[in-house]
Amino acid sequence: MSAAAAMIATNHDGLHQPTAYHTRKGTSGTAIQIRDFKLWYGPSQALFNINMDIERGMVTALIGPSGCGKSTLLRCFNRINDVIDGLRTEGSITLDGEELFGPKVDVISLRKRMGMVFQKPNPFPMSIYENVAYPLRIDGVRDRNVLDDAVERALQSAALWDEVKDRLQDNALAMSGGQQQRLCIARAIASQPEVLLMDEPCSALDPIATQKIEDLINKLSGDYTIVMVTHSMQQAARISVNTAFMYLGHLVEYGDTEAIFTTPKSTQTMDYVTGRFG
Amino acid sequence: MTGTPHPHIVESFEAELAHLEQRLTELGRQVSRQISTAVQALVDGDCAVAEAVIEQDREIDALEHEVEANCARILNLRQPHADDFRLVFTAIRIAGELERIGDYAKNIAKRVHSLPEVRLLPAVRSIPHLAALAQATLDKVIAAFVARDSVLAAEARDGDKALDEAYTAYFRETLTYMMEDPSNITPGTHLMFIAKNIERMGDHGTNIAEMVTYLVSGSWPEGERLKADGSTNIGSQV
Amino acid sequence: MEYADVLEQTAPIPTAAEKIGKRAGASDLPAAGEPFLWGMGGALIVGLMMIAGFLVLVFWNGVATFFPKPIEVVTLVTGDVVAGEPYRSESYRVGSDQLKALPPEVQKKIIARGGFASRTLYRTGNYDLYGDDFRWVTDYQVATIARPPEMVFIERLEWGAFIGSIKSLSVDGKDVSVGRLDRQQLSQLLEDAQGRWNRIRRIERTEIGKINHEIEGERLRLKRVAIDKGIDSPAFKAAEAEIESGAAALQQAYEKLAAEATATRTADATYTITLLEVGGREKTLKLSEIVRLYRANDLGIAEWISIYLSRWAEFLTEEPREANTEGGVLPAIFGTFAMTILMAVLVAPFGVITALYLREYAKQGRLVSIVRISVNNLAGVPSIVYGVFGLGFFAYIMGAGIDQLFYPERLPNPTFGTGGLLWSSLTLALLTVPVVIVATEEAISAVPRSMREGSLACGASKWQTIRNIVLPRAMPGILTGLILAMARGAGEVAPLMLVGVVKLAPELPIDGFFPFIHFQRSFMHLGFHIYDVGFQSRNSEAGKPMVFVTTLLLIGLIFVMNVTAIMVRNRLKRRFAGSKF
Repeated sequence: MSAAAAMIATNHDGLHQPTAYHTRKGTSGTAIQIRDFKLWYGPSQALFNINMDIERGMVTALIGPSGCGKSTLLRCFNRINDVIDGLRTEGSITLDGEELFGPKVDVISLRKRMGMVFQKPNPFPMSIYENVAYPLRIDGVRDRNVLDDAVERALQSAALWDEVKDRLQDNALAMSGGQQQRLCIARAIASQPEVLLMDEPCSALDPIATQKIEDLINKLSGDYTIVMVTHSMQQAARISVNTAFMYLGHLVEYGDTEAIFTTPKSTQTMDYVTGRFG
Repeated sequence: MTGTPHPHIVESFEAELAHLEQRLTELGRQVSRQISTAVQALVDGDCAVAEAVIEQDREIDALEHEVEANCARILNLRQPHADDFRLVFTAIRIAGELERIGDYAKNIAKRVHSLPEVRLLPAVRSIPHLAALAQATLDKVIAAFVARDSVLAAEARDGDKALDEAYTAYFRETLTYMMEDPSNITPGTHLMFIAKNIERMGDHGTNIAEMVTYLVSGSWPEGERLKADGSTNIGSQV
Repeated sequence: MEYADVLEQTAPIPTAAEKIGKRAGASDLPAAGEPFLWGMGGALIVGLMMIAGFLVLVFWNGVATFFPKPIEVVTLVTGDVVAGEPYRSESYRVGSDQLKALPPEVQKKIIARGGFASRTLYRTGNYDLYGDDFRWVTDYQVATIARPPEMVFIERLEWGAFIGSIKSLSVDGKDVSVGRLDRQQLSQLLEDAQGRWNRIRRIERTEIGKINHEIEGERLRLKRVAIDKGIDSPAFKAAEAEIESGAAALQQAYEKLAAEATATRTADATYTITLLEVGGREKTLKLSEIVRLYRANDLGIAEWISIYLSRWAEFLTEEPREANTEGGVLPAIFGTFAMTILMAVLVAPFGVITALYLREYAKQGRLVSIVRISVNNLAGVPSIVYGVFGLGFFAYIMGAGIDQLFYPERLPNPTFGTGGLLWSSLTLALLTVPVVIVATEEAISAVPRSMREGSLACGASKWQTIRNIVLPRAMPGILTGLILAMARGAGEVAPLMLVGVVKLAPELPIDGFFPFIHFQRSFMHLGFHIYDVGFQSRNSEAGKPMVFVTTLLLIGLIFVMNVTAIMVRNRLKRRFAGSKF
């Protein structure tokens, strides 16, 4: 390069891209595939022909007004809807190619591949340690060392370790709401599932706790495929890579988050994100 | 406002804002370099360097688009408030101003390219002085932006007066040259445009200074800028 | 016209107060609901006062039962002398015949009081001499009342109390004059006598009892072999020979013990006391027959308190005497506890597992609703019906079957074919199981769904969720149900009368012989004891104080059981406290 060019060559100052929450790290494949999925509660249909591919290692958000079916869809992934009587489904959902709704599916081992975090933090009435160790204990793990390691790892990943490492035997119910929710996240990832399902995880928390959880979700994605239902579209805008907008049981639009919030393809979507919804 | 703010809880947001600021600062530095390089090409009559300046402007435009796209994304997806919002808001405008300054530098380089013998004119000698003033203003506002220093920004804004006065003097001087000898008219006119470009660079620099004041304090600076551009008053009677 | 005239002519504008007058204000009672509030509050107060009054009555009478009372010697106008503890006084209407038979001054006095006279009930004791423990003495019959210090009140092993004075003592056959003995020596002698009596009892009950137990066991073994193998079989003959050889040793041991008992008895008989009752008759007793002796009119505070406390100790730790009107209620306490605990052990798993199945596993539909309604209705069945069911099914059908299979050698004496500890506990468990089922179902359904879903989402199976999350969380509620069941069961008497409680049980249901808990034995029960003492004893006056004291004890026991269970439950509840949701 000539001296002149060198003189004006750009000086990068060692910059680097920010951790990409809205950018892709490259295609890593589909984790969950949903094809023509329908669901009935008794006689009334709740989900109509859902078709979606959920990417591995990314955060996918499900948004939409109340009653649009986003929580219902989420709860189908680990089949926790099975406890409801009168549920009927058609169509297929596959996790890494394995059908979730087949007749021979072992629901228990399916649920072990997914962790779930609920809207209201629901720690068990046990010590903090026992809460996080629960998924491992019911799997039959007895070795104290293995449990200790797993508990520490999970609590570190959930950004809770420093706050509780001296009081692991305390009752989990004595923690604040934000801490309890992070404990539930630690419990959900303790057995290292493939997928993390989150049903409005921040809706019961104050803004600071919410931000801590959002920061946590940012850091967890990459290792986990995260599907999150949220009634706050701003939250979806902040932390998800893909967003699905649902309305009255239909999947209206699904795509890259920035595209949906900049130029959505459907008017319904735009009405919703701009607050014009009538 | 007292005290230093803590970093954002969501680290990715913190990283995005830092990245934005870095890119904007980089844009400012590149533009500053463009000014000095273009003027050097003028003084040396070096067409190769002038070519390089024109090429580099493409990168500057791309960088400006990158900064604006980042700002759009942050506004859309993060809904920033307070100082975060002011940063993103002023970044968009500052990027635009910088890109205009870069365009003026390119314009100077273009004129070198078409008339290299311009440098033979003794009037050329004053151009680097004007350019230095403009570049000083630009460097000052970039430093004020990085340091969030509204005092420095106010200084830069007020310092534009010197450039305006120098430009007015140069206007007279070049007029004199052109009146002496008609063969000086073509190069002299080019030099007039070059000087005007440099004066405009200073004005854009003061725009940036006003935005830095808004960024730091949240309110626009009071009163009219000190304008000393007397060139509009110069009549044919010298 | 003047403006003022116009004003006069127009109707006056009603003032604000008048306008509002018609509307209901704060002073309008029915609207505010105050009368109903007062009514409910009043009813509550009445109820509480009744309960408080009842408790105070029981407490006062119960506590006062064991007070040592003074002995009054009453000389009647006729010259007769009556000595006894004054029990209670009342005024009564004098019959017209009686009235006519009285002297005129007395008649006048009675008529002046409207035909009423007062009389006092004296506990004279000396049932063996008088034929009666109590005697009414009317006021007008009384000439003088004295409280001589030498009157003694003696509680005996037989025939109840003796009231009189000490004439003489005989130690080792030699007479000792009472004046030379001080209190200390007398009580020492009594202690020794009691020691001898305890030794005799121990020999006869425990040690000879052991031998009898063995002999009985051998006999039954032989009979068993006879039934299994036949009387003519060689096995029988072998067993018979074996037993006969053992029998000699046993017989020897028995004779040795019997001799020791007899010797002690003979030695004991040399210690006697001769007593004088106010009528002049004498009565000689062995010193070992005396349970307690004290000078009723000569008690210091310390002695009074010590007598009171020792009576309480006796009540709680001794066996009953005199058809349950005297002595202690230890077997009844023991039986009540044993039965209640056994009932709790039986009802808890049965009730909890049923409730778990109904609530968690059964498909909710019409059948389950019907089952649930039936279970709730079980709680309304009269308890005596449970007793009849217990007797008919458990005792006569199941018990007879068990007897045929396992205890044929004891027939025709039923072992399990009649009422006993097991059948009683089982019957009461059946009676209280609806309470436990309902409470457990409530507790289980109160476990929030979020917790269950959290467990399921971790990959737990239904049973793991129930065992690790639901049951521990529901434990306080389950314990509440258990407490209620225990309280109800401990108080039921009617069914027990049919299935295993007896007036006087020869042995405790738990003792030192294998298998230690004898499920077929009858037992005594505090509730039944109250009924028996109050209404079935020959001496209702003597029984009355026992009724109060036993009631006090029963209430106290149930209170203690409930408080303990509540404390356990509260400790568990604290583990679940602190939850924000």
